[in-house]
Amino acid sequence: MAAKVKDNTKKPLLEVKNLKKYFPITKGIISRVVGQVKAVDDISFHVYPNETVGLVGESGCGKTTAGRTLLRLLEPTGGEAIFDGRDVFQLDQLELRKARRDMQIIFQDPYSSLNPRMTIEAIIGEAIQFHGIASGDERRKIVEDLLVRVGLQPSYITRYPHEFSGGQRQRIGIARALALKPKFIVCDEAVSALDVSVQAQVINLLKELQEEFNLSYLFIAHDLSVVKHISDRIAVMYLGQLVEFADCNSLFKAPRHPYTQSLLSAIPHPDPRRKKARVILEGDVPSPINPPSGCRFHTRCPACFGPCSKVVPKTIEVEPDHFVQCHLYDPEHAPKDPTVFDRLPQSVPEHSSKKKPPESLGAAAAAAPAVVDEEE
Amino acid sequence: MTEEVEKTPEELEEIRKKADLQYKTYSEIVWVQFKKYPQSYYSLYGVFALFVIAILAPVFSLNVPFFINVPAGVGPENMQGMHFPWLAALFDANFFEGGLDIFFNWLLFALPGAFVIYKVMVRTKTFANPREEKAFIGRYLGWAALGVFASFLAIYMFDFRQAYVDYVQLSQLDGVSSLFPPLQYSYRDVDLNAVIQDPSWQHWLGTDQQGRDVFARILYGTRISLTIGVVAVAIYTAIGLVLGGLAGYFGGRVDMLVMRLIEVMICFPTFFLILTLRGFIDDPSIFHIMVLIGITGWTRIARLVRGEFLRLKNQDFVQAAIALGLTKRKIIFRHLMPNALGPVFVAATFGVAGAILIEASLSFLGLGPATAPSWGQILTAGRQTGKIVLILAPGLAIFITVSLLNLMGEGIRDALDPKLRK
Repeated sequence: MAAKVKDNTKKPLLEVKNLKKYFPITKGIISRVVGQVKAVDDISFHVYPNETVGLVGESGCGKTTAGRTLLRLLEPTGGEAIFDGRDVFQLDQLELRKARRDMQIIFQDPYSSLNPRMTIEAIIGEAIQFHGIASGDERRKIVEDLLVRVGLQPSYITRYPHEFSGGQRQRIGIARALALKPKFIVCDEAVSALDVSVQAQVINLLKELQEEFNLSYLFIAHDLSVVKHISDRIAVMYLGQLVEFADCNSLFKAPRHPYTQSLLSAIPHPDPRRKKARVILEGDVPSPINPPSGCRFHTRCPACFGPCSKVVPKTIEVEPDHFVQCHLYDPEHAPKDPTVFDRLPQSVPEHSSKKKPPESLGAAAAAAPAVVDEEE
Repeated sequence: MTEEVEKTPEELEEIRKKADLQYKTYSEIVWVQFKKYPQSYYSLYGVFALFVIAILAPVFSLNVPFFINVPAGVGPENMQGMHFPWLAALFDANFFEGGLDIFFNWLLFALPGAFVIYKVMVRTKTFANPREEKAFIGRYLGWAALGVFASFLAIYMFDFRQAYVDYVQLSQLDGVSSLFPPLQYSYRDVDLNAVIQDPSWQHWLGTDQQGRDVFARILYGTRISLTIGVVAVAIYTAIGLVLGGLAGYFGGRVDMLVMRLIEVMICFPTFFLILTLRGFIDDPSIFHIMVLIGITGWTRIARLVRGEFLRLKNQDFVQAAIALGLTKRKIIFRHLMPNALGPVFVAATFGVAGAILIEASLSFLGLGPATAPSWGQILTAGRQTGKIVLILAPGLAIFITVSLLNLMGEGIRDALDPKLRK
């Protein structure tokens, strides 16, 4: 989404343009390619220094693939990822090895992300030695400092991963990612496997570290409340595409895309007496092998109209720095019949408030095909 | 957990020392698990005893005395006086023609030597913690193995050979005093005056059709069986690790190529494949047999390693290693290999028993090395004499060795498998 931003003086640390990752489906003994899983299909976003971008979406929408492709853990099918002025996707092996010092990843599963045959010192310190930063006692000192920094005892360096709990292992994973002093870290569902109290600790740790080391995060998660807590800006993915990209407040206050709206309605609220409209989308996520024509969400969209199934939607900047990929907001395809907006799970400021008084919201919700009232 | 822990360097050192004593490495855990299976644990000692017997064979049985004193006027001139021919005979090509025997004979001196050097080195060194000591032991073992092998090669290349002396006859002359090993026979001594004899004090298990002492032959046969087992398995494990690792790590075309090769190999029953390949060799030595077993047996290991690599390669810790910018070599040898070795080790332990059986079968069919005192060959020779002892003795030797190895393998398998942990 190459577009103007609020603060033009800031230069993005990472600029992703038209990132694509297709997985070929092969058949037969000669591995004929019979199709492609379009896991990530043409997404663009940017990350500023010292900023956290949340990447949300349901399972299988390509969040993790996007994160790993950025780091070249998977080879991209197309697109650019300009990191610090250089396209990561164009680097050769040697340059990439150097560039990897600046971009790291924290994994979801703390149990498989640490090599069971290595001591903590070796796990955290291996890269320090490999990149020629320090070795021997010096390396040991760095590892101990890192352990202290992530809230563990420095004496743990001689232990093995199996001697730690999930939360502790995740901290070790964070220490390993920090070892090379990166500028950018992909947190791939970094807290999803932890239980809630540990989640909070780890998130606060990540926030502290961000300030201390001036880090940028791409925070991949499916837990919206976690993402809301940590992110500065949020990107919403659906079936390999970015449907909405906005700063955290703007997205949570006034989501535009019908998918984002239904996604946000799924956040549980701590007050059990609160009455709320929970949007339940019909059907399943379509297969990424053969995605729907036009807008990928049109098969499940409550506000689907004319061009949705035919034309691929463009990215529209509805507000400064708030991007949406939906025909509803595209002046070119804008619906002639304004009642389409009433079918949205949540009213959109500049449309429904103009057309209809707010009290009709309930009626609009009742008219929507897949909105149920939840009472507990 | 979140609050920062500030400690002085002295305190850190203290904590580190304590922690070092407290926590176990992976191998220590496996060892504790292994000890929970008594039959396997004692089998390990059994296998160890077999190796000791193999090394000590010339102490029990050789036709050369430890010392011999020939007084003046008796026997040939040049043999007069006090001699210690046993030591020299161990490396004498007259008494031991094969490199295998010379190697085991050399171990008889090299192993105690290495042990004494180790003890002295440990005395003079101080270690900060047990882990450092273990690291030192690891390094020492590596260098010691290299040293032993290099010195063996030097001895073997030297091809030491003295004029042949029949010490048994010499010792029977008047006035000659000597001390022989308990059995005055080498496994090659043909004595046509004493063919097919029953067990007696001279021949503990009797003699075969050529008058060779069967006990001595079985004793030296331990060397052949163990060596064939270990070396053949080492050969095919090496091939399997390389091919399986390549297929698993690189995938794609390499994988397809290796898998097709494996499929072609397993089409043929291993034993008949070995029999066929054996047909191309005239007069094979035991090294030929090892290589034959080695180049036919690797498919199982390759498939195991390939499977492990496929599983591990997508694990997050390997992805993390790639993200840290490590080289392929480091990833394969530090991250993938150590984690893939568990099942390979188990398969190799069972493989040793299998290789011993294959060699015994080949020798039994008369297709093994012609002169080596292999157990299968002793069995055939015994069958031709029709004496039950001569059939039972080598059969029992094969049975005990294979059983011990299999029991040991079961224990290792269970100890390495976390799901079976009690």
